[in-house]
Amino acid sequence: MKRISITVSLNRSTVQMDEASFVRLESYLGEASRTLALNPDRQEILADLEQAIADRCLQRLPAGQTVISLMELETVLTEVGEVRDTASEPDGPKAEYIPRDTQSPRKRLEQLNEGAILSGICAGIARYLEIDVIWVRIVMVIMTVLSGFTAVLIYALLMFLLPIAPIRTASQPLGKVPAKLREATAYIRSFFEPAKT
Amino acid sequence: MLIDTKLAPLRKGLLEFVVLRIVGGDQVYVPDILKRLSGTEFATQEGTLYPLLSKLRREQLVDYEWRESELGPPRKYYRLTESGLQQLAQLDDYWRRINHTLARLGPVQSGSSHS
Repeated sequence: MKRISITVSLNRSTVQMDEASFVRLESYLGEASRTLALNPDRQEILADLEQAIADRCLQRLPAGQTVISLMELETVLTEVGEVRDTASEPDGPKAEYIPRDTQSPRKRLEQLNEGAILSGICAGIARYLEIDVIWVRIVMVIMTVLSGFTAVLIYALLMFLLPIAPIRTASQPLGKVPAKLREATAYIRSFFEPAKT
Repeated sequence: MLIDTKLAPLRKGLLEFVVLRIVGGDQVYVPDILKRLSGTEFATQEGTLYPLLSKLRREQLVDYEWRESELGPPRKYYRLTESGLQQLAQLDDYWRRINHTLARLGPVQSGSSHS
């Protein structure tokens, strides 16, 4: 089976792309549209951005290829950059995000998928208890050994019960998981996420 | 790290001034502006530049006209309006005064050629 190409009209140009790129582009433009919600020139800026994306896609199309793939689109979107509305955020995006975090200090027990090994349960517990995630992971491993895998069942249960944190509320950056560990856990993870291809 | 958190708002504030300068030089379209800025401290992207240009247009400092292109759809070429030119002159003047004030007030920085 071959991937289906979608013809996308971007302002005054048309671009062929695969389904994954289309979904990604839709989400980029949706986010841009939300950022510009209060901007009186929203429609025009969006049209300009669409044109810029189309121009860059067409430039970037490798010889002999007619369909933009997700890899090319990601490059293009990185070049075009996240939409920043200078008019409606006088102190810059950072100044806007930081107070938002401190405004809602209420603690929630959540799964932090960002930087997680399996599903971010340990990370979520660590953030809730305000300790380093490594301690929770160590306790988890010890419990798993001692309890004869009851702890694994508890973990699995928590995966279903705990809400997943939106990425931006992950106030504690968790650092990078070592590559070896990541490879091993990707395998374990595949059992839990059969839908993901 | 710390120094960049102090410099970032400065750059951000100056971006508008820098864009006015570029648009004041010649009629330009957005890829030209991005190219002029790339490699400088003010390197930016469409995602920032288009909202900024639309704000400058609402303030009637810049305007654009459509020009046919051989390579694709018509392009927007930006230029300064009369009040844009005036504001650029004011900003230039203000910038010169700030430089002068800085030079007058403080010790000369290491690495500067004055010492």
